[in-house]
Amino acid sequence: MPAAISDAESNHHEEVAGLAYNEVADIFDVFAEELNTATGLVVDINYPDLMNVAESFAYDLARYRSFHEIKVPDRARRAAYMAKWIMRFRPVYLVGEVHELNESQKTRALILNEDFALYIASAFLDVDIEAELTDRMASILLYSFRYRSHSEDTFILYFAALCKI
Amino acid sequence: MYPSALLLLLVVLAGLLGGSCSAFYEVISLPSTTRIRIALRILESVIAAAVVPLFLSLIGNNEIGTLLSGDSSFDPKVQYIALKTFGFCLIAAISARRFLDTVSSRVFALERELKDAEKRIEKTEQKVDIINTAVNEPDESSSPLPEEVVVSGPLTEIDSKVLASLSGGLPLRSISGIARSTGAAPEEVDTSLTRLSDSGLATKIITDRGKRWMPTLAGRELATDVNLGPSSAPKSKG
Repeated sequence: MPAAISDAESNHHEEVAGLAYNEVADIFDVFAEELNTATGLVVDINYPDLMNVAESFAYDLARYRSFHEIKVPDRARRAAYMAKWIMRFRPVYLVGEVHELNESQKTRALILNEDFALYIASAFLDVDIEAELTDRMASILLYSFRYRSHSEDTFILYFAALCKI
Repeated sequence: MYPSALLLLLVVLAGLLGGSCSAFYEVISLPSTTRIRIALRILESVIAAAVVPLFLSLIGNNEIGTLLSGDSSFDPKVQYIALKTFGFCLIAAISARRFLDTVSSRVFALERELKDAEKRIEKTEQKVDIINTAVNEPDESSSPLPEEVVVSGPLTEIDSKVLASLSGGLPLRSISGIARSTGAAPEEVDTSLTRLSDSGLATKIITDRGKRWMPTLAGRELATDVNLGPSSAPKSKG
């Protein structure tokens, strides 16, 4: 948390975090419905964790605003920060018991937050990831999200590439 | 005496006693005193004592209701509750300011908790609706549950590739994404998806991003078959 922030900065931070929270919550509702249709999985989101994601996202935006950097599209940075915190706090969870699922559902249930991070990135980037990525690239990306450690810089670079700048 | 009058008398008496006690502590520590200051302190204590019924309801104590609904003040049960309430009022009056701060903080916190609980209930009800819909009204065009597969001949090479593409990576795929993955033209993919859909191996949904495709359970099972090839036929069921 920033050591000393003015009231104006504090109010702005709360506003940014609140907007991010509402936006991600709305996107989650659509994501959950589509995931249920596609796989039969019923998922929900932990709202306190989501608030944590939104707050951290807002701090990232404020922190990097004051630095000179190469001109990266704003949407790529926003998508990268949001994906990073979703995978850190993992707010999405499965409703129900894993042992009741079939094999393909179990595999999908393991990567719920990775799926959601990619879904959110797609929304923030305004890029149709389902059209842009090959299966292999999507699998590599999801695997990498889950099992590899990445900084937001890695995500920024990749998402900037998806923006075709 | 009516129980309600008894309660009112006890509240005021506790307030006066507690306020006097509180004022006494202050008086003896000061070089000089003012009558107004003492009176205000006593008034604060009377107010704190009057808030005791609210405090008791917040902590789940509803005995005051029993007291007020009693027929007579001489009922031992009524007297017992009255004495307990008097004790609460006395404590509240002695520590008036701190008591009032505590109760007001608790009331505001309770309001926030109620709002959060209402939001969570609304979300839970929506999730229950989704579960009920999935259990009671399976969508025939998009359900991943086992379906009857119509045997319409062996899968072609392109159909096999498209089905494999559908079953890997993301939960939903677009025609252009499948075309990019398989190297086939979008028109070929579109035709293949129609065949797969007719065979019960794939299905489409409409999203805000446009048409999206996904494998059915039968299609996903077939796609994971290691012997999948151009001459493989879909398994018929039923």
